[in-house]
Amino acid sequence: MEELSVIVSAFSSGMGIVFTPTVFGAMMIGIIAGMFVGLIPGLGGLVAHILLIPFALQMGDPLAAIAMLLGVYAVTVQTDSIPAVMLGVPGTAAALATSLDGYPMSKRGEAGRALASSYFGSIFGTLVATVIFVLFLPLLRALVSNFSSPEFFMMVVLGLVMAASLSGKSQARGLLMAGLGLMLSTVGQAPGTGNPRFIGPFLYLWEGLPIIPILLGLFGVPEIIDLAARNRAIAGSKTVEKISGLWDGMMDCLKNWWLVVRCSAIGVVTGFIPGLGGNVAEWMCYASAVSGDKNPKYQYGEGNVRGIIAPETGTAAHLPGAIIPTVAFGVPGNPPMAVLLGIFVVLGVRPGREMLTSKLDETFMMVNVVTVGNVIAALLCLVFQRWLVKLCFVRASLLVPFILAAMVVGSSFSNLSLADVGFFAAAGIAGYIFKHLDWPRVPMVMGLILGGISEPYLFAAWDRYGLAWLYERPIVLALEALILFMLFSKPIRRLLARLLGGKERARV
Amino acid sequence: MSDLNGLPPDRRAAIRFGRRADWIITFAILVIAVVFIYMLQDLPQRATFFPWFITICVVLVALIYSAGKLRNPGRWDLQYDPAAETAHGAEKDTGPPFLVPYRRGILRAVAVFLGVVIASLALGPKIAVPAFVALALWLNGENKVLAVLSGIAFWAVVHFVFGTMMSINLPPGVLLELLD
Repeated sequence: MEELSVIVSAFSSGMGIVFTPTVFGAMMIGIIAGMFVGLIPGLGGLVAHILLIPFALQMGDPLAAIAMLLGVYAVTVQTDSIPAVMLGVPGTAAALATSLDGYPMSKRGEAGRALASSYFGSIFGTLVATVIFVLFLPLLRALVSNFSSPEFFMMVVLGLVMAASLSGKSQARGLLMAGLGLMLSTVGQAPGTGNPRFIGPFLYLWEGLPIIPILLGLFGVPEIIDLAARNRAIAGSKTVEKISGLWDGMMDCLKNWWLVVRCSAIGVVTGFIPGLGGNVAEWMCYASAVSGDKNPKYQYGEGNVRGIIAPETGTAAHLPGAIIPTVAFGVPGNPPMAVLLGIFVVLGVRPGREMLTSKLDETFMMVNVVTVGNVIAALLCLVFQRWLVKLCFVRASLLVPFILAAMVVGSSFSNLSLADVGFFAAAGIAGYIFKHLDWPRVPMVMGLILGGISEPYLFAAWDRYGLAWLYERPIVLALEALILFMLFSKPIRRLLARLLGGKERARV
Repeated sequence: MSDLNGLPPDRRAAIRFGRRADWIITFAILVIAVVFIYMLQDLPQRATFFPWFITICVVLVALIYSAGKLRNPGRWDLQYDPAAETAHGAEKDTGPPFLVPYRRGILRAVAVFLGVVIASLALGPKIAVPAFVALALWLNGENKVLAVLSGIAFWAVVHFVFGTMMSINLPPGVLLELLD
């Protein structure tokens, strides 16, 4: 009972923080910026998120800065369904499943119904995810209370291995990129001893590599180069269908309440697992809708409204789901959360046990910003969707100069040094090469950010327990088993398949 | 995709380019790891513990990956399968073969990007970036008045909003510092 009152009190306190003028204002700036930049052809939410970081950091209030970035994070799942439904062109990869049924519905004259089901699916998704978060919080708090430096260190390792294994097509490349990120994280002053490492004569590197120019370069520049190279609007010469049937879309969500709950649970779980992200949640939910519908009125892919509700609910629910491991264990659930974790480091917000105990209200503030932001974004999209869709027709030649200019200015905000611009350029070129050669950038960024967090944990574990922490602590042993499973399950499966295949051939 | 003979020459060249680039990235990561290991020699043991652990792991994974590539060079070519590239709309822009039709545009975009960066380093972002906005819009065929006004507006935002109101003074360029 006492636990429940602590959670309810923290929830209401978190909601109170959301509605303070600075935090609410920052969230609204994030939502509006996210609506525009997130809809711009080829850019999407992550670029909007990264583009706002330098400006958010200048606000002086860490909570307001976090609210602004989470506002962008929340709005993207709403806006990307507009081009997907109305033009059949998914603005981001996460809206691909939505376009499969959304565009046929739009062509049938039910664009409004499709969009409304997408918006309300997202709203219900985040609401149900918040409820799931509250229900599981006592369990999570009990788990984290048993965590000490060895467990936190192993959680970081597990997060990195999962991200490396799941975010690209090659596990070895993912691991190499995570390792590269970890190596680069050791540049600068060593925690514990204070010795400068790998900085040479460059005092600029004393505090470590500048995270923001590197993020802007790795994720922003490749999209800009591609946008400029193709030099066309994502919508091409497509025509916008008429919008009607908004009320029906909302009722569809209510009628399919079980699908909404199921997909919300899937979304939360996929958000919790590092490296999976919204795309996986989207397709798992779509598959869940297809498998649970024996006699559909419209076939899936030909305009079935459940084919919109399911992925939209899942992608929206994975947003609050991804916040949980980020704040509790310092292990980000998806790329925007990895970026946000980097901002936590810059702002001095330390993930870990405190975020679920003494700072639980701040954690709830983050979850509530996503939920409230999602509702506001849905309402704004409902009102302005006719105008927002026009952004998809804007020429790249008009957009690229402004976005690139904002990136260069934003990158130099980090240390107000020209070296920031240099790092931005180097990271940009590297990011472009990595993107097109399928070397995953997310594990690298996670390594870069998590390296600084995990090294003090390793020292503390070593100082307190020597080597015994590796084999005496049950949670550490369980995490080690998971890490080994993630590392070796694929090679062992491949080896077994080859051996069995060899035997079959010999028998033939 | 080990057998490249059935593919058109430009795609074959792109796949070979991808394989070469893969080797270069792996080698670059290995070199960084070795340099880091070398630089650790002068540091006290406690400061080297974590970097040692990571760099050794990186070297091991890089060697395993390289051995796998030597044994079967085509193993990681799967992502260059054109059918797979076009099957998922949003993922179609990965892999060098898909970029072949856009190579001129890409080179131009990279050149422009590097041009902005070099100009920012020389003149400082406060001067170079608004000038770039105006010039890029002008050269892209937008309305000339709009292009000039956009550049001025961008400079005004950087100067008044960030510089005056928020006291964020962007660094001056190397050339301007030399002139001072």
